[in-house]
Amino acid sequence: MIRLLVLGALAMLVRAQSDQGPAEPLPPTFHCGDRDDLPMSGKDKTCYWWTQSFNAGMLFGAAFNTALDPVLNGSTLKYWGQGAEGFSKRFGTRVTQSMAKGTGQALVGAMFHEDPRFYPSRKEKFWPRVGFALTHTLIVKNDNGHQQFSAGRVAGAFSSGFSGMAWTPDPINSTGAAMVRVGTSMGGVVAGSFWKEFQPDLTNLASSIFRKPPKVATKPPKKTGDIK
Amino acid sequence: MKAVSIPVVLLMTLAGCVPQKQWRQKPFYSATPAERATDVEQRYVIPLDVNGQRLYSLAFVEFKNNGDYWDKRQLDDALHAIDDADRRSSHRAVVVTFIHGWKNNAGQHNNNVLDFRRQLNRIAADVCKGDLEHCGVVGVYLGWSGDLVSRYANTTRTLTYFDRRDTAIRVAVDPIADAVLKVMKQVKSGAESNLSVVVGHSFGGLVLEYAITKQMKLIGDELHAELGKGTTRDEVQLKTLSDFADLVVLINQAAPAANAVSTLIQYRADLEQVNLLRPPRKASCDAGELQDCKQLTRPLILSVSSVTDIATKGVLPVAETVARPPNGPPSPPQALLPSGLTPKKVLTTAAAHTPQLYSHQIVQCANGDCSPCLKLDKYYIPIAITLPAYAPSNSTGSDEKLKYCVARDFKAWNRTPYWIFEIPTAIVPDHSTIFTDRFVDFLTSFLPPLESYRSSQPAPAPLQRMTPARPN
Repeated sequence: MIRLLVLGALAMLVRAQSDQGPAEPLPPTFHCGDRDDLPMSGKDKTCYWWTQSFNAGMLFGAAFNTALDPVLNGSTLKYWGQGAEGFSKRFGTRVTQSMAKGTGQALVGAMFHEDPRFYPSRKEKFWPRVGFALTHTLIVKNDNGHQQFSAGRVAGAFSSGFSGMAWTPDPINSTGAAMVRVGTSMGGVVAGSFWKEFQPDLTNLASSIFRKPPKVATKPPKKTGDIK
Repeated sequence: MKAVSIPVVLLMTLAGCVPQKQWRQKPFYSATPAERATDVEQRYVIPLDVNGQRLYSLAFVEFKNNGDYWDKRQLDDALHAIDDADRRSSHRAVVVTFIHGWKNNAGQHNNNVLDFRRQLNRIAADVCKGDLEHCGVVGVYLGWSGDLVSRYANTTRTLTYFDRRDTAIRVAVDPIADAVLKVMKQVKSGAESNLSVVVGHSFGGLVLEYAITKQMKLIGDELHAELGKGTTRDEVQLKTLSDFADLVVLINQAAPAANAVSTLIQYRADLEQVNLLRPPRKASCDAGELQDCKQLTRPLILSVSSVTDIATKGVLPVAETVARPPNGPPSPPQALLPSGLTPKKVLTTAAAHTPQLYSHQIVQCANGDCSPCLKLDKYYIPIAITLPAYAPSNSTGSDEKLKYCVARDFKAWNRTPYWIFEIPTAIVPDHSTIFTDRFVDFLTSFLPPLESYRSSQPAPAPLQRMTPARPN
C-alpha cells in the first residue's frame, strides 16, 4: 500500500513538471536548488543546506574576517587569546555560527515547508527592485509556490547569534552581544537578498572591465508597445 | 592534527569525484529479445515502450576525455535506432540529437538526461497522437565527461571550468564531429522528410559548432557555386544541405563568437541571397493574413542565449580574457568585422550576447496581441509559451500564457539563415534550465507543425530547399 502511494506521488511529481503527454516513470529532478522553476524536494533541501552552509566561500570568509579581528576588533583579542590558538578559536566560532545559521534555517524552514531560496523580482526599475529585495529578506515561497513569512531565516539568525554563547569568554558572553550577532546575521540575509536581485547587473558590470558592452545605435523594442 | 586532517581532506575530495566512465555499457541490437528486457537503463538504446508510457527511443553515444569513443558500437546502435524509427513511422521520424555541456554526463540520474527524456515524451505524444505503436521520435544523447565533481562540493566543481572547456574543445575535434554528421546523414538517408534537430548546450554548443564547421564550409562552397551559375530558379537544392540537420540549435553556448563570425564573414554574401522556409501551421486560411497560414522563413542555425544567463554573459568574457584555450580559433581581422565589433570582443563574447551579430529581435506581445509586429516584419515567427506558476518571473500565481514575435532586422549585418539573438528570461531563465516545456515550445515554433508527422497525415514535404530571398 505504502509502495503504491509513493509510486503515485512520484508519478504526480513527474507529471507536474510537464503539462502534456503521458508521464514516463522517471526519477524526479534532483537540482539542489539550481532550478528556480521547480519546487525543492527534501533531498534538494538537504543538498542546499550542505552547499550553502559549508563551502569554500564560507571558510575563506571566516578566515578573512578572523584575520582582520586584530585590526577591526582589537578589544576581543584579550578574551580569545593571541596567535594561532586565538585565531583558531575565533575561526572555529565563525564557522560554527555559519553552520548553526544554515542548520537552524533548514530545520525550522522544513517545519514550515519553506523553499529556502532567494529569488529575483524580474522587475525592471531600480527602486521597485530595491523594495522587493528588502521585503523578500523575510518572505519566502512555500512548497506550493505561495509566499509566506520566513520563520526559518529568523531562526537561522538567532541560531547563529546564540550558538556562540556556549563557549564565548564570560566578559563578552552577554545576551546583548548575542543579539548583536543576530543582527549581523540578519544583515547577511539582507545582503543575500540584494545579491540575488542584482547579481546579473553586478556580474555584467564586473565583466565589462573585460568586455565593454557593445554600443547599439537603436535600442530594439522589448514589447509591442515600444514599436513605433 | 596534520596526520588526521590530510586523510579527511583526501576522503572528502574523493567522495566528491564523479566517475569518468561509460555510463551505458550494454549493447541493445546484438542482445536477444529476452536480454533487451533486462537492464534497460544500461543499454546503448532505450527502446520505445508504449505500455511503460515511453513513446520514444533514446540512444547514447559516449566519448572519453581524449575524444575517442568509449565503444564505437554505441554509434552503430544509434544509427540502427534511427533506421528503426524511420521504418516504424513510415518516413516520419523526428530525431533530436543533444550534446550536453559542463557539469553533465550520460549518467542515469543526470538532469539533462531526465529532462531530455521528458521532453522527448512530450514531443512524441504530439507527433504520434493516435498511433503510438508507430512512433518515430528518437533522441540521440551525445555524452562526454562534462562533470568531474559532485554537486555537494560546488566550489570545487566550479573550479573545473577551464579543464572541462579544454576537454570540450579536445572532444569536439574528430569522433564527435564524425558522430554528429553520421547521425544527421542517417536521418535523411531514410527519407528527406524525416526531421532532424541537433541541440548543443553550453560547452556542448561549443562542441557542436566545431563539429559542423567542416560541413558548413561544404554547404557554403556549394551554394556559392550554385549562385555563380546565374540561373533563375524558384528553388536551390544543395546536395551537402540534404544530409544536414533541419535545425541546429546553440543554446547558452559557452564559446566566444570567433567561429560564428568567421563563418558569417565567409558565406554571408551568398547566404543573404537565399531563405529557408517553414511550411504554414494551418494548411488553408481564407484571408491568408494569419502568421500560422503563412510560409515563414526559418533558421538553419539558431544561436540564442538567455538575457539572464550569467555564465555566458558575465563569466565567459572574464574567463576568456584570463585564459584563452590554447587551440582556440583566431579572430578575423578588424576590417572584416561589422561596425562596433573588435577582435577582442570576438574572442571574449558569446555570439548571442553580441548585438552586432543579431539577425532578429524578439518582442513580447502586450496583452497577447502580436499584430504590431507586422510593422517590423510581415513574416515574423509567432511564439507562444506557458510560464509555469512556480517560475520567479511569474507574478500571477498560476500558469501564464505569453506570446512573442521573432522579427527580422532588415538593417542587420547578419541577414543569413544563421540566426542570432538574445531570448527573454521567461523562455530560458538562466544558464542550465533548458529542456523545459517553454523552451521546447519556443524551438518547435521554428519547425514545421509536429502534427504533420502523424501517420494520419500525408507524408511531410522535405525541408532543405532554399528559395531566393524575398523583400519584407
